[in-house]
Amino acid sequence: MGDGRRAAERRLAVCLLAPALGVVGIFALGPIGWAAWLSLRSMHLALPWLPKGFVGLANYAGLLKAPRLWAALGHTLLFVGASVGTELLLGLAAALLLRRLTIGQGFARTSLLLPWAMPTVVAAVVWRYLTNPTSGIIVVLLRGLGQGDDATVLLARPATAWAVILLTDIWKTTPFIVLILLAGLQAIPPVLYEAAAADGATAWARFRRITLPLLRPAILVALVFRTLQAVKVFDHIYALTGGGPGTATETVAFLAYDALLRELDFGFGSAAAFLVLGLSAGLAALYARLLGASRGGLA
Amino acid sequence: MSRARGAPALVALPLAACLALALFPWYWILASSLRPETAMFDPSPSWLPVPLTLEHYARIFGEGGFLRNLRNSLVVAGVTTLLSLALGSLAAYALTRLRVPGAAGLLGILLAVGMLPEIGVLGPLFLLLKALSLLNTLPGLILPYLAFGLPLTVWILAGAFAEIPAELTEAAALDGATPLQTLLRVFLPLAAPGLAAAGLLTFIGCWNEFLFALALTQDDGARTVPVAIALFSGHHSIPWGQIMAAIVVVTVPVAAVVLALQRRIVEGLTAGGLKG
Repeated sequence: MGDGRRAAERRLAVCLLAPALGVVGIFALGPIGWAAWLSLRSMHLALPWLPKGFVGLANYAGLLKAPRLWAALGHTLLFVGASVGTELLLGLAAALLLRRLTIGQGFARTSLLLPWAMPTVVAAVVWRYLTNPTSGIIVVLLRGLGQGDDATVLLARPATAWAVILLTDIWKTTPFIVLILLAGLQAIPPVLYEAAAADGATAWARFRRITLPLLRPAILVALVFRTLQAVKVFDHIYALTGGGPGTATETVAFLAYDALLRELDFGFGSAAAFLVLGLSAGLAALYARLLGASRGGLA
Repeated sequence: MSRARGAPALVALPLAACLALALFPWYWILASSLRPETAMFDPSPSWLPVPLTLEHYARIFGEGGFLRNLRNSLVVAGVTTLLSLALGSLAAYALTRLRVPGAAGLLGILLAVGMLPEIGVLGPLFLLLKALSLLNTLPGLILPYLAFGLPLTVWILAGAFAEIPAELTEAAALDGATPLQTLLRVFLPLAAPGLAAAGLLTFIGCWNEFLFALALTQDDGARTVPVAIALFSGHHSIPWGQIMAAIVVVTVPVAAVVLALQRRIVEGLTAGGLKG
């Protein structure tokens, strides 16, 4: 084909790609670079008389010295570990159960998709209602079990507040994991199980030798998606506790939001937000390596 | 054969328990939306919403604010979805059918953007929209949503387009079709399932988005439903009845859509992951 045709094709490709890449570039990629730049400056929107200038790594130094940040980081990592771990285990159990379902798959799938289709913050509001000390049904149940009035103000104590936050996330997100794992399970050819059963393999051996290895890609997908989502956790905190009591339920994303839009400290807030970016990028890179290794193993 | 089935009770009981736990909150939301305000402070609420009342629904629709929020959410989600499908189709077509140097790299960068934590760009976005006078406007939400939603759309559509055999493109070219006509007449119809999946995921993503909607809007002029529900406040105490009514109003159409299209949604969700 002639050079002219190739050049025309390239021009067309540029035209077709430009709108999409333009929007992404201006409203997503560009802002990342800008955030990096902002994090190196001092910028307090609420105190415009303060000088706006380059401060180098002072914001980051301030961040790393702040116990509040380390607490938020710890909270975030604990949340990620607890939520992803629990949801994977529960999701796997539920998927294994649902696989046997012969009728009502549509209803089951809809029930599973419903929490996913609802805004996270709304799910959090629902659980705030369910646990409110006056008439929340959970609290009513707790009182019925003999818990005193102190124990029922769930969101006012860090341990129980975290329990509610986790419960909200588990309720909302496990269905999504069930769907991914179910799809993976349904892709396993039944003939493998029949052959193994004919060879006398127990249910546990069949699970360990057939199900788990063949489910590994789906589990990894679920793991990666959920972890990257969990690191960003914000909606639950905002609607359930507002970071409280005190700062006991703050996560890094919440801290960054607070700095940016409540204190209007765009320098410090950008540094905090960049930290969240770095955390996500680090986890993504880790998973990329894990996925690459698993891909290499299967090849 | 009988071994593979397993005891039905072992499956049915835990499954029923799971479903009950998962579905109970929905029932309670519905019941609470129909319970009179005075019953909200009853320390031992009845299981059935008796007496029944529609006062909460009347309130949220009567005061007008919530209707505006619904409209905002619909407009933002709808426009973003349409634009995402349009721009995404063009980009996916270019990436799969035209010789683009570094196509795989571009796709990789796009995907990375899609996985970004939104908080990372919140500061600059706020400043950018402020400079463009787009704060507290619907386009001010549509553009960032588009930027963050395009990666997934392009990914799904590229996957769908890649499956279309080259012979069809060649046949269309032989018939004298321009690339754009090929896209419209050949690709889009064949990729309809992919378009549906991408469209649904984009719409639901926009509908549920909270952080940007919270930060980039200031009042009901542009506020969307999630923010409205999170910020519902009353004069004396939190108006739980109205909040639950609002949630029901929002969830029922979503449930209907999900029920009708659950297979498509699952396809979209698992497409990139399991194949890629």
